[in-house]
Amino acid sequence: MINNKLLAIYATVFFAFCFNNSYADITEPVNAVIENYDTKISIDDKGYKIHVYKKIVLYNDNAIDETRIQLYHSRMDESKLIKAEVRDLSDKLIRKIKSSDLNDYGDFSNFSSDAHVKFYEFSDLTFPCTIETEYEYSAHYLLYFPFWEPVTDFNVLVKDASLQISVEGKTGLRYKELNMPKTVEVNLVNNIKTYTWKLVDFKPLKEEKYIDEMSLPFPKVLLAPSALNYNSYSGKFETWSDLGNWILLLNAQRDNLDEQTTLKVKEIAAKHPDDLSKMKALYEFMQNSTRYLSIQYGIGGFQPFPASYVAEKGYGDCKALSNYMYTLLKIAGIKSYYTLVLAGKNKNIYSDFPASQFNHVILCVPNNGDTLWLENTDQKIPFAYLGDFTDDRDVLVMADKPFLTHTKKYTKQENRDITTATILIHENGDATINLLAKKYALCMRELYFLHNYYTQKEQMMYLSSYMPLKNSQIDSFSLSLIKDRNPYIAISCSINAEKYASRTGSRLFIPLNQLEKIPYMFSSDTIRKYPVFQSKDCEIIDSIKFYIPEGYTVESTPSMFKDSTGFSNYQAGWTINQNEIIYSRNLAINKAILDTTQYQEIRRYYNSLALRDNPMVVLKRN
Amino acid sequence: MYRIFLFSIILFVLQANAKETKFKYGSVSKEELEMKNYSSDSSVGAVVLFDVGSISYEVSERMSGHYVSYSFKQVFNRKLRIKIFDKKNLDMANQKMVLYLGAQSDNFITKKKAHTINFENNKQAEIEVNKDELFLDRIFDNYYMLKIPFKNVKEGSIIEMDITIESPLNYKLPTWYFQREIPTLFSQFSVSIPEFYKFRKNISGYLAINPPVSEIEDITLNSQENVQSNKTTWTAEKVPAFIREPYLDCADNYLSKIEYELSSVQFPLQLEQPLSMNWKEVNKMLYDAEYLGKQITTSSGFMKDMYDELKSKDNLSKLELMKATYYAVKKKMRFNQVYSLASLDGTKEAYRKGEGNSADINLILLKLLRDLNFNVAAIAVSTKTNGNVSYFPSLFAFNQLIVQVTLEGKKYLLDATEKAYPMHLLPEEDLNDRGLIISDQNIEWVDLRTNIPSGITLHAVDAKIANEGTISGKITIQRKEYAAANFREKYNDKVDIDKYTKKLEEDNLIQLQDKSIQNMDSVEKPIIETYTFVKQNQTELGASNMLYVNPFIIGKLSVNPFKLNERDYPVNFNHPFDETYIINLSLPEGYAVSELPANASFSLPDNSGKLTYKITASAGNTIQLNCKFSITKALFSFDEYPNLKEFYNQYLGKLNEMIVIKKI
Repeated sequence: MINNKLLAIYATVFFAFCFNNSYADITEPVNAVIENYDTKISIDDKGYKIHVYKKIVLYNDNAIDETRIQLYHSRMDESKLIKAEVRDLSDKLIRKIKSSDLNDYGDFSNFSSDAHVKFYEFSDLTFPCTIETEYEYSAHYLLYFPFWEPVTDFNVLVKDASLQISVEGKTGLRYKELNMPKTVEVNLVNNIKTYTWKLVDFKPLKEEKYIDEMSLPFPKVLLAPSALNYNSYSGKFETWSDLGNWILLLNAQRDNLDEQTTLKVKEIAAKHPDDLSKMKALYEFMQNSTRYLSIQYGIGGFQPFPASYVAEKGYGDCKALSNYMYTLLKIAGIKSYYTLVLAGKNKNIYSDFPASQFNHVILCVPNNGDTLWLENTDQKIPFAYLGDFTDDRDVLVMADKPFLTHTKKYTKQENRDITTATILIHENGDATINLLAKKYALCMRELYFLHNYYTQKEQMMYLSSYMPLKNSQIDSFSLSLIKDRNPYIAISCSINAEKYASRTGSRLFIPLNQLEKIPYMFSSDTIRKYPVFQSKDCEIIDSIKFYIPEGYTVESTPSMFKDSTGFSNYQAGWTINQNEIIYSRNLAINKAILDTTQYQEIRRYYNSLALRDNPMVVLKRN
Repeated sequence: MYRIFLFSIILFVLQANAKETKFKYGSVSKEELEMKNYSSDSSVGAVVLFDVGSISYEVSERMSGHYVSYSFKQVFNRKLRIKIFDKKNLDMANQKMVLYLGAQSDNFITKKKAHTINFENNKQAEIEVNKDELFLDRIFDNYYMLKIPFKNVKEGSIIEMDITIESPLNYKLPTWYFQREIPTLFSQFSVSIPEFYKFRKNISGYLAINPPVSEIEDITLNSQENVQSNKTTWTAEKVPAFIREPYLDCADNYLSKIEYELSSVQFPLQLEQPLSMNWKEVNKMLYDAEYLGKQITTSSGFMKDMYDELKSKDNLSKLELMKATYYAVKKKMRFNQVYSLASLDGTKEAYRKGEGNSADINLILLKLLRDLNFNVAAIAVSTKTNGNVSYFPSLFAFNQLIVQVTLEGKKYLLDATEKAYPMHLLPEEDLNDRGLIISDQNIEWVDLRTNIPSGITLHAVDAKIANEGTISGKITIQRKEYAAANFREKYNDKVDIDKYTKKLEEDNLIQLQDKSIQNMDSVEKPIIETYTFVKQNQTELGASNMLYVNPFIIGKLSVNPFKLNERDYPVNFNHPFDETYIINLSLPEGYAVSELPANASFSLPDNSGKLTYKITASAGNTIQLNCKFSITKALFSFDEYPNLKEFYNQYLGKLNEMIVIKKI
């Protein structure tokens, strides 16, 4: 009954727009309430059908996805809108959408494909309102089922949601429940097996910063068929190696190349003495003669274009380019494996549930135990560098006997961010800064893209705003990518920072750390519901030498500061030597999911760091 | 002068002719093949070597019964050649062209040639894109995208395409852009128009285009007759890339481009048939339009309930009645977020539904005010997102309608759409270019960029400093006019407000309590935030028992938004604004002021910006600071930029100055 009470509160708060003058009395915000969300799936040996009915009350525009109707269709599947209506809270009909009101759009995410979406957006809602939708979808193949995730947004309450799956025929259903308060009910009537899940009165999750999505308690049911069937390609599907074998079936005989390219490859390989330099040279050959271009039609969404296609056209998607690279290495006598991965920063598959959970392909090179991973869609990426797009996660490797393994995790020693600078302070407070920074591996972040894809003018624009210095003006800079085994971006800059030091009367105030400061991130949240996620191992090392103007003496200095915990260490200090001040700072962070029992310590640590990360030296004129 | 001008035309013609062969598909020069980078900027990843478009008209014959009828079809050819220097622009090899292909395929792509030219080891290789490698994908309705995936493209490749589209829709010409995201060495658009047609043209954008070259051509109508055609050729050379800068409004206002519009048609032995309009005609059409001007005069019986209620308020002054009407309409009508110059299904239907586009809502407001005996007019506007009012008088120049009321000699502009705004403020979208008063009489424009009220923010801090340097006290933030409206738009629910106060704490390294935000829904009143706060000392006690305090405890600007030396385009703040700080600090027991920042005052030429900083210490051990930063106009041209940058520089300097306090 909590829900009704909440509803009542929100009805008055949001409906009576003119009477509520203050936000002071509201406690827990709710963006939307899912009144009803029923999904029915029927599965047979050829494919499956889904019927969805959803009724949701929106209180504001934060649950943006709920205001869009997106029905996908292609050569292999279709969808149909049955109903879409918007009502106000008094149940008065505001708008009714017919199937013909939906706009059919071609695919924008690929260069070309058979995917289409029937789309409608309620861009013009007045809140609160109720959206009721009903649609059907049918797929003429068996490969995956969409996972059942009745709620994926924060501040959304679920009153009643259900999933019912009926299975007819030989193909079975596999499933895995996550965070479900109640387990499945199974019935068997007339050889039709029916699975039913229910989710009732699920309270909204509150949004918190620094979270790991996979450790959030959103309820879901992972689903997968026990057989694969797409056009003529079929197989059983119980284990990861079953999926791998099916992929091997799709990839069979796609590794042929024309004679000319074969000769070229052999010629390159012959020039190099060992496997590693052969690989590097062939990787560069691939990077210099191809580009990423995504063309997806039917089975082409899962099956790579042959290597000869890439050689002839000079383009391909992740599947085609990985298969091409595999073929190049094969010609040179180097073993490699086509590898499926779920790409994206901090993403991972549910590795204990074999299902088609991947969206990208890379290459795994065993390299006599020193495994290398090749990303083949970025023509500028250093050899064997993955970045946060595919690092540290479970992947399916298409060896003769396919297996699951883990990609490279970048260590603290590899992810270093080292800045050295000299800052010459002028008497008027202006400063001349010469800065040299090396950002290794995952610490390259946006500078990697800035280096690779932008012109000097754009780089200047970005770097100027990237510098937290209040008035900095970059006089000259250089940005380079060093493609070592552990690659890094080197940036050197000479900066004219007006009013770097502020002055009051006879005193000059010199901030020691004006570069990248530790945010005051947990200041206002006294309690924590979900683990704190530190997304990478890294070490930040700053060393800055200040030259102070003549005729001044140091009046005040900050105290040295050091703090260490199981998840991070910090140390900052300075030395003064005549007219030089050397400031050094070191911050090390572990990649970790820190459970809530540690929260008070996390909060104490980062809050005190944030306050201590702005040290200042005060100079006084003699 | 005259002779020089003539000579330059001849020179241009000669040059143009010389270039013809250069544009021939496949005939690339050695210079182009061997080009290593763009001379003006070696970091550029690709340049357009040329982009040559031409529009001409061809005669097409059609048998209808026993008669042969002639009509013109428009032929649009585009030749584009791009040199790729660096992989950063490999995406140029994925060319896309949006085409409107009529339902019956009225338009035809009659030529689609594309190839890659590679030059390696002194050998030139041409790799053709085969017809079956092209995609013509439907985007939606009759809009298609021709996609050309060039093959074997690498650093050093030249890609080239030659596309012709024929169309019977001969009155519409594509807008030709001379500028894009990569530099263009040569761009040319030539338009050859048969003598029967008259077109008007508009050149706009920030970069200069060469003077046009004109000549007369002949088109064969049939075996006996020729028709004269007027050809005009527009060129631009070495056009730099367009890079968007912060604080810039609609980019289309600045891109160099040329537009054509058909103005009249006169076939032999026929009268001239004017097709385009002047503003007076446009205005007349707007005035006569069913769902626009007609609504100004037609009955409003359907709003009787609202009218009666307003009419009954006889104790109100005229101004109060106008206000009451404005807010009554705002309360009654939901805005569906669609800007429109005209009502969709008529105001009656919108009123019944209680929902409508901007024209529906503002026409309802206008009708009510009219019936209540106000002197009203409708104004056609082009919103900020829509860009400036088009050069050509056209019904499509506008996308929004607002209301003007003249009361006791004063003019009020009203827009009842956006809930976050009070009556006297036009939403920022409306503050663009000029508006046309819809009338069948004279042409009267209203400038929408002058006399814009400011966004006003006031930070008042009353605090005391403790022995160890911790500062605590009370903060009041007051936001008025655009500052309040922007805040209301941005933080319109509890979730957003929550994020806002957290960010306030994080940005200022401060802990807030007793948080209260008042008047979020009373749009006529300022938004008042009040907090109590604690801010830990961040600087150590000095060796000589000193305390150093920055008095700007909350809300101070942290970096200069203008750090670049130069700027290409104007800075648009949307509206003037000012920020005021009134700070009272009391010192800890046993301490006294040692040094204070200097008082200061700066201003920009014409007082377009002003900064005052005044700090005093009183005997009672308190410090008062009064600081005001104001920008008094919305638009700064690029030559005013260096001053604006320096002005911000000074402001940031003052914001960071410290107070020095000493133990007695």
